Amino acid sequence: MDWQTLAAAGIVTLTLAVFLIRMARPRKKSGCGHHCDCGKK
Amino acid sequence: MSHTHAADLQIDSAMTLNQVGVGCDVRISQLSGPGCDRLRDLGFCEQLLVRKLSAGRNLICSLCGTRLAISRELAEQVVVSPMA
Amino acid sequence: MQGSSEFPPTIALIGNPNSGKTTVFNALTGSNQKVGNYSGVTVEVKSGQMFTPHGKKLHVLDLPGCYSLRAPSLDEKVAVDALKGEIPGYAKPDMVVCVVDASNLERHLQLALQIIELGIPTVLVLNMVDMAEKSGLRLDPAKLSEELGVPVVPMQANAGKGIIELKQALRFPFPPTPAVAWAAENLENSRRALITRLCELAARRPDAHQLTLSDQLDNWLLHPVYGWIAFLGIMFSVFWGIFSFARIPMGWIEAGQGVIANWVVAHMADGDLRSLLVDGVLGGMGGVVVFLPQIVLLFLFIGLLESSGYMARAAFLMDGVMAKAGLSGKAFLPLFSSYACAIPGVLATRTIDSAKERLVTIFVAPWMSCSARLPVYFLIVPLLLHENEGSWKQAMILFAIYALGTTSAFGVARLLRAKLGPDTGATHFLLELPPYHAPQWSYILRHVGERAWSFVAQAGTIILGLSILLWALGTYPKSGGTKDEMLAHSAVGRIGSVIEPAVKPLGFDGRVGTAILTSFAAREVFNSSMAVLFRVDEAESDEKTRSLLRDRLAAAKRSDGTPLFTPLSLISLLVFYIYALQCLPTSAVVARETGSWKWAFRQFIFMSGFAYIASLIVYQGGKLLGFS
Repeated sequence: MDWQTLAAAGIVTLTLAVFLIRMARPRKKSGCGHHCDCGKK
Repeated sequence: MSHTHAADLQIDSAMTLNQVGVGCDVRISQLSGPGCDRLRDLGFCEQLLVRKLSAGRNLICSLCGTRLAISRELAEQVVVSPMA
Repeated sequence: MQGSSEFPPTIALIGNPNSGKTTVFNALTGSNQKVGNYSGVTVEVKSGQMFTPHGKKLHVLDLPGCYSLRAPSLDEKVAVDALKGEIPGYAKPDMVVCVVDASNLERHLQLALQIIELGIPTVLVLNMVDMAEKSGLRLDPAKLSEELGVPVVPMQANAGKGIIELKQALRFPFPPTPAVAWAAENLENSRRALITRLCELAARRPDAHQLTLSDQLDNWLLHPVYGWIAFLGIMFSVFWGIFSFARIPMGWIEAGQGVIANWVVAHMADGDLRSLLVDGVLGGMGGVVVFLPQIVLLFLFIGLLESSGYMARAAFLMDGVMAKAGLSGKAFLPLFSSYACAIPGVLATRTIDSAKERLVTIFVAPWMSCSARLPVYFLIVPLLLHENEGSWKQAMILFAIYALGTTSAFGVARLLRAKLGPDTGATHFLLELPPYHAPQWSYILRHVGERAWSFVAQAGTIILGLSILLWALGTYPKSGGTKDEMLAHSAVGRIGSVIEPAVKPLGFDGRVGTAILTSFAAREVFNSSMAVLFRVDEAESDEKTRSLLRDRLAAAKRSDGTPLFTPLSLISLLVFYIYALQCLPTSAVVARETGSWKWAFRQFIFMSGFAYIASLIVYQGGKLLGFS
């Protein structure tokens, strides 16, 4: 098994993981659920 | 909503914005009907001058230098009198 | 005390539509701003920061334009909620800056009085004083300030005049809440009396009506005959402009893609990673990014039409036509925008007063053929024609495609509008026709930039992820043998054989079915899927790839040896793509704008079901009638 196969499989797994995590976790409200402080970023 | 001061208008001079001829200047004497709050928000207030610019499905009128397009149903709720 | 030292105090900008509120906001905050989208009920509030002349930091909110705090439309409700501090993530404003058009005090003071009555410290900005004075109005800000009990700042925001004075008026701590002197028993009447008195005192008008340049233009542009000619001419120019100007940068993007792909191929040994990069990432994202020029141009043209004041005239003209579909002229802009992309179209429905009309407009918007369908059309339509047939035939077919989508959308809108019944509250067609003026380039360009960036950001995240997963589905589980056998063995190949019975009645085989399935998240994926499934090697440009793919498709055979693509099955495929809702981002936006996934789900099921049945009718009906 060459490094390309491993790297490609790794990227696919990572993408799948990111999708699953984002789907499972309800989205935070733009990073500011509480008072004020929204414009500070 | 009732407007007591409307009583001092002559009855025969009262007509709605729909009945006014195109190009005429009239004074709003009363608003009556379900849409009158919305009309007021847009600036259709008693005593203001309106010029009707076009008729049709929706009519265009000029109010304080602004052109507004309103539907016939709304225009029906605007009672106007000829300018003194 | 509100706005203690921990957080910067918040000021909110509010004003009637067309009062120049956003110009004031831009002048105050400079580039220091961002657009916020909040989940739940639709909110689009801009926020930014500014500093007072004393160096105090202030947080500025730009609220949607509104006529009154009674709020029948969603835009206005957002503004009212923000004023009450009921929007999560935003503090209740410590001060309100109410922007009014100085030429229109009689009308705009309505809102100003309602705000002062709320008891929040208020500063009144008389914007566009230059225009007012040019028209002969004599303004007296000092008198107005004295009568209302709030600071009044005359301004000409688009020229930067009066900004310093406004910043000085925002000196912290804020002035105390003014006493509402006019609060009598009948608030409506006393407000009106006050406005009449104020206008007599502080804004003397020499002559009520003068025929302005805008009036003269409107005589032509709203004319029952010439107005329509102008309207059709403008709309045609916009579409023509989008498609012809976009071609040049699209060529650059495609060429750039080709260069990168060739570079990767030249510098990497054959293997999974190279295949992932070239076929998956570059192919998948490239197919989407290539539409960036069209989207930028569309937003630019819409921005121009809106900023110059023509969009309101278009809505006025179209009101009669839209009424036939049970909609009003206000639904015109959202549906028009949807020809480029349904997402901005759905967002633009916020200006529609009637909740039910808004829902109907959102529901049918994806049937206005969006630009993402074009690559699919461009792939299929030439297959319908013989090589020597002119391009005008292709144009005719394209026109028919657009017409079919649009008329179906209007038909469904009419049925749905009738089904939902009349509105609970009275809503009427009511539209302000702002004076024509030169477009505000800085504002338009900023808006176009925002949209372009959000599109690119999406391509870089969701579409990138989907492309990688799609590639994986077409690659794993791995097997030996030819490319063909590998594909048949892969997950995509297996899915294809499973769904073949479902798509066969439409005239497709398993491969086409799989390509359709992969394109449900984003319809433009269809082309790249077809290229993968019919084993077309990447050529140096998309156009070349497309023509290679076309040759391959024309030669494709069914298992029984008959040609796969007959004119009838191609038309069936076109019909499917006209109707199917294959755009995950649109569904997400619909869910957000309607406040629940229920409508997004219904819309998806309805449109996809409709697409399937329409295709079925076309193919089976066509066969019965003896076509092939």
